[in-house]
Amino acid sequence: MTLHKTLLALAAVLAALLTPAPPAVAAGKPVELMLQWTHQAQFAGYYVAAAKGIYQAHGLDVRIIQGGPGLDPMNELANGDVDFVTAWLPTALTRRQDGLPLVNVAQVVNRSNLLLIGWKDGPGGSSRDLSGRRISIWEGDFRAPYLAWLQSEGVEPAAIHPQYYSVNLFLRKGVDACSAMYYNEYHMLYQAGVNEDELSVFFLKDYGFGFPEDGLYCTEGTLRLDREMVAAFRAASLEGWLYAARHPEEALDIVMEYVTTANVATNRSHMKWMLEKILASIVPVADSWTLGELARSDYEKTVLMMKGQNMLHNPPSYEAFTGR
Amino acid sequence: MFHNISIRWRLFAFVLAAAGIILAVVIGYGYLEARELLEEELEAKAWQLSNATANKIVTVEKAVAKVAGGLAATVAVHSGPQTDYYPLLERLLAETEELSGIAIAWDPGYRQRGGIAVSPAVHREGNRIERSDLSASGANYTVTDWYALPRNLLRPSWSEPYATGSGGDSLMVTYSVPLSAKTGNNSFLGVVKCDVSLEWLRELLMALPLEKNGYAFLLSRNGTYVAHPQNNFILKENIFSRAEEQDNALLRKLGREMVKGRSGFIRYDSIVSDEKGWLLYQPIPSTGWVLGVFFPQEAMSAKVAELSRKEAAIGLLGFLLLLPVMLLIARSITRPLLQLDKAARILATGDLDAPLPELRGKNEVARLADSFTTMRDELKVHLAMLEQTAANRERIESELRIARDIQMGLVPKTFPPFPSRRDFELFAVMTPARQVGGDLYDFFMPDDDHLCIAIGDVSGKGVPAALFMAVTRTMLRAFLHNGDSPGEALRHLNDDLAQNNDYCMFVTVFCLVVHLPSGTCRFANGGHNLPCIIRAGGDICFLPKTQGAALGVMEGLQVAENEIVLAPGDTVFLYTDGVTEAMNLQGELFGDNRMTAELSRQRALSCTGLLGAVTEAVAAHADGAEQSDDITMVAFRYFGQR
Repeated sequence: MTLHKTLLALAAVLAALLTPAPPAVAAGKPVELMLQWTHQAQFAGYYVAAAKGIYQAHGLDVRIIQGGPGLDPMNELANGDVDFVTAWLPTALTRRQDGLPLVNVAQVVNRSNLLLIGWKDGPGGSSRDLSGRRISIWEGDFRAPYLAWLQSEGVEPAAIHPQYYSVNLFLRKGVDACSAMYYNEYHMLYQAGVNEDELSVFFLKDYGFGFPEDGLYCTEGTLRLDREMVAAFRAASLEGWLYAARHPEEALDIVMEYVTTANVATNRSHMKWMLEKILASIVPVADSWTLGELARSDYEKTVLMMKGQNMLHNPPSYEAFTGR
Repeated sequence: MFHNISIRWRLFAFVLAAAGIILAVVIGYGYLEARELLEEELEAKAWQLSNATANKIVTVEKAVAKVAGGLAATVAVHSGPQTDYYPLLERLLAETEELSGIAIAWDPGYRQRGGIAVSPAVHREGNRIERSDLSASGANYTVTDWYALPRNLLRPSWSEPYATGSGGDSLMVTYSVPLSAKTGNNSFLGVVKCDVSLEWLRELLMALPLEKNGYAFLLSRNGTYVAHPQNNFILKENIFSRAEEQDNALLRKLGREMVKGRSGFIRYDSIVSDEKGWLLYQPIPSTGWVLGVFFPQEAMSAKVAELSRKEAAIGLLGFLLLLPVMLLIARSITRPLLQLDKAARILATGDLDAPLPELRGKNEVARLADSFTTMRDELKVHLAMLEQTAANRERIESELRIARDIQMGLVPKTFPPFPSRRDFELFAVMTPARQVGGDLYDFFMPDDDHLCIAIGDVSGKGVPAALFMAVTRTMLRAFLHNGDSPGEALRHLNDDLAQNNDYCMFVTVFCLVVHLPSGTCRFANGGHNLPCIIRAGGDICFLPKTQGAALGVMEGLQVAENEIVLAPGDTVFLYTDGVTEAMNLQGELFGDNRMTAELSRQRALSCTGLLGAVTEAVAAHADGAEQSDDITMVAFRYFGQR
């Protein structure tokens, strides 16, 4: 873990140098948020809340630290190096089972973005066509919904390869299908010159396998210590997302500042796509869900799915997990 | 509109305009031709340059692949827990300058099974070569493309280029080869990887001899910019992201062509400077990358423009030289014309002796000048002839005038001739033809009881006829005065005229002597038209025929006499053949019938009125045709004693 600490420290210093300076009069409570991945539009709401002084207005001085390959924000949270992290709901559940007392502060992404994408000239248009095919799926907690879906569809792939950060294996036809986020990998394929009509795309949510995704988490200790601060952070973050939804171009500018400063290998049109899709899965339409709320039914559905995959044995109660 | 411009300027303008158009066409054609040629040349050069560059890249990649492949083969044969690969890796790295690092990454499962402690790696650190252990770093290398791709594809692969170094500004690409054991189920042992820094690539592309604003770029097999003059594109932008940003479907299509490994030379607008030009793209076969080179049009256009400018300058020079030449030619043609024009104006004033311009040669203008001279000479001759003719005519005309004067002077022209006489009425007219015909009429009273009337027509025309007529009249008057009867008078006249009549002229005469108290008329006819008698009752007839012929032809001619008695109111109408033979334009004669009809119709008129009416009728018939003979009429109306 020493290397992790060093990297983390380095990342923190870099972030401090690179993050747009908060207004000079900032005298809020210092708070650190660590993201589960490198800077990108997936986290636009937090950048906007920081850049537009929303955190400050809530009495917070928030520093946003990017994650990335080899960095595990949960570890930093456990060590008390950061106050908040963003995390996937299944990840949070497994980590809590492993003993980290996580509390869901806000369930930001309430609509699933998980896809399985196949070459149209390979698996074809039906999920059953995936049987006997080589599929690559992300490792870890991302695996559960895919396996559950494949099971329920009765698909028996020839092989399931581990998938990591890139879609190159799929692009080079090393596999016939791969896992993808609608807001990210799907568009990465498009930006590698693959046209939509060359792909068969399966939205897991269309098959009843959509689960809540990114959420904001802190430890039970933090919540106990300063419930007010946690509430302010929750409110300000959600406000940041709403502002981004109302001003997508401005939000994109802010995202690009973060991305450019951190030298992330991406481009504006990709970030634009990502912002659009992530906003659509955060900001509710009609009464599809409540902004920032982890619905009890969604929680229970997720727990059930993970139990079914033997990834969860001893789930916390909904109340304990959401800190009510 | 051109007709008002002098020949000189017309010639000048037309020839120069034609020359100008030809010049423009030649220059325009030259421009197109040059552009096409230069385009072809550019394309050939572009392919040369691009192929050479691609070959250089392939050479490096082949060298890398050879090292990696060799190492993988060695490892597969000699792999064992105790093998120390560091010296081999160091030697290979030292020998292969293209490489910046070599490593053997064991498969985690194999490591556990075989109890292998380290995954040996060496890399350059400045001029030194450093050792490291991939397994010791804690990072899970199995998640990286350079491991996962050969692991899953089970064939050597080039990774997508990636950034390394503290600032992330050092570009790397990794070639990795899967290690397979010869036997066993778990045949995958790990991966041999070779890191290649891409700094040389950027330098290679920057050093290409391209025109201003020309540039080369390199795309990864995913379309990501590996090298591009716009540094912020590298690894971030992608030909498809640019297409998306610009909403440029064509660019996306082009990108797909490129990453599919096609090559081409196309018209292209630079996405860097919006400049027009050509883009050459071709795949680098080993890595699946795409090399693109942009050639701006401006550089080539400048060459074409330069060429065209030179052509235009030469053309213009020729054009300017043509100007004075054309002026000279135009002048040489028009100067003699102007001279001729001047001379012709002088000629027109009548000065036929004025000098004409002397022109040498046999060209059209010289011939025109010759014609002028000929015309002038002809004109002189003609004028001289004309003068002569005019003089002749003048003489003839004066003779005619004299003849007419004689003719007119000989006939009594005072009417009424005997104002005191109430017992008859007399009127006569004579309309001489233009050529004097020689008609005559006469009347006189030898005593109070007798009236002599004569009418005649001399053969021939002109002065001789006039003189012959004068003689006839004088002699006839003399014989009648002597108391001759009409017949005797005509016989005597004939005899006298026949003597010494060398010209064989003759005259027809009708002679009438009226005894006024009784109305008895004695008459004789010497070959003349018979007069008409219009009776007071309206009857009209010709006087009876008597023996006689034209006078003056031969001596001893017998002329008979006859007699009629006139009742008061009767009218005798005498005339010459000028009346009955008056011709209209169609050649129809007036004739006896028309004449008697007119007389009958107008018989109520006085003698003067009657002759006026007949004159008008004749004129109406002639309808403007000129008459060749004199028209002479005499009307006598007898009233008896009152």
